[in-house]
Amino acid sequence: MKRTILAAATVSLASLAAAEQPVVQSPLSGPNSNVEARLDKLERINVTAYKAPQASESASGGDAAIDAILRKADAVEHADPDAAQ
Amino acid sequence: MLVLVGAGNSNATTHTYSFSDDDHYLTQANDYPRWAALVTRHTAQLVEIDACIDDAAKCPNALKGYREVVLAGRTLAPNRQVALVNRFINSRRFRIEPRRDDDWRTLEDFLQVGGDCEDYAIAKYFVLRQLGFPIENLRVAITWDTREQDYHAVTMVNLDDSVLVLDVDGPPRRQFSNYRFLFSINESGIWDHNARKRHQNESADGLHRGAQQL
Repeated sequence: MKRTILAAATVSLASLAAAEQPVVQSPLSGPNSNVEARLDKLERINVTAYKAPQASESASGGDAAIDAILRKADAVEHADPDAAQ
Repeated sequence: MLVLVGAGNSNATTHTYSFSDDDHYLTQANDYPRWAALVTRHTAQLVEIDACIDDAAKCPNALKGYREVVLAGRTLAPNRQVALVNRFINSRRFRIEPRRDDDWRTLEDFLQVGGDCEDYAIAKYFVLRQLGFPIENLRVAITWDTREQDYHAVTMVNLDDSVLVLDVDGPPRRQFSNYRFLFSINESGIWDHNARKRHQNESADGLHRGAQQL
């Protein structure tokens, strides 16, 4: 009998402790169908680009330091590794 | 270009943009599997990228130019870092993906093979992160371009409390009246820019119904 009472008390205390724990969960783990619906809308985005990039930025007035960095980056990337040997 | 099924309602979008507008917050970034997978893949590739930055001998060809940009870029002021990254990424290979195979590429994948508009936006985001820009000042935004009449992706930068948009076709700019913002995403969250408008519409509907009942 004592064991039964003790076990019941332990279970009650454990339940109480669990109830006091802050519940941190993603909105998607609950019944927030609005979030799911919005993410579904985002997911249905099908990306195919037709807007071609333009690296030239003469409108910016130019920046000699940036020009030099980009020139060096291009040179390093396209250097022929065999030419140095 | 982005094709968003069922979107395009001009009344439910906005031309303004703010990094401090909590009304638009939708959920945490990990809740969007496509983005979560991309960030996971990028994080794994950062091992190789960081090794390349530390030692040029460890760089694959496609990362050699990137290494120069990051090392030299570290010495620049933030506004010039943004300009550098924008120009560097815009000079990369433009590659249209078949709609059925469209994916969001990591920085390294983009540097290797190129990509289309959202890949440019994502690549700029991660280069700026590598240069030390904090997550809270960067986002990839999905927009409706009213000029091109198409969906598009750009990088948004919060710099000295001023919002810059990094597009594929020119320098960073503060004017972006041709964009209606739909969604934004970074490593911490996702923002739905329709949210406030929708909430306002719902509130207006409620007031209207309440007025009818009165």
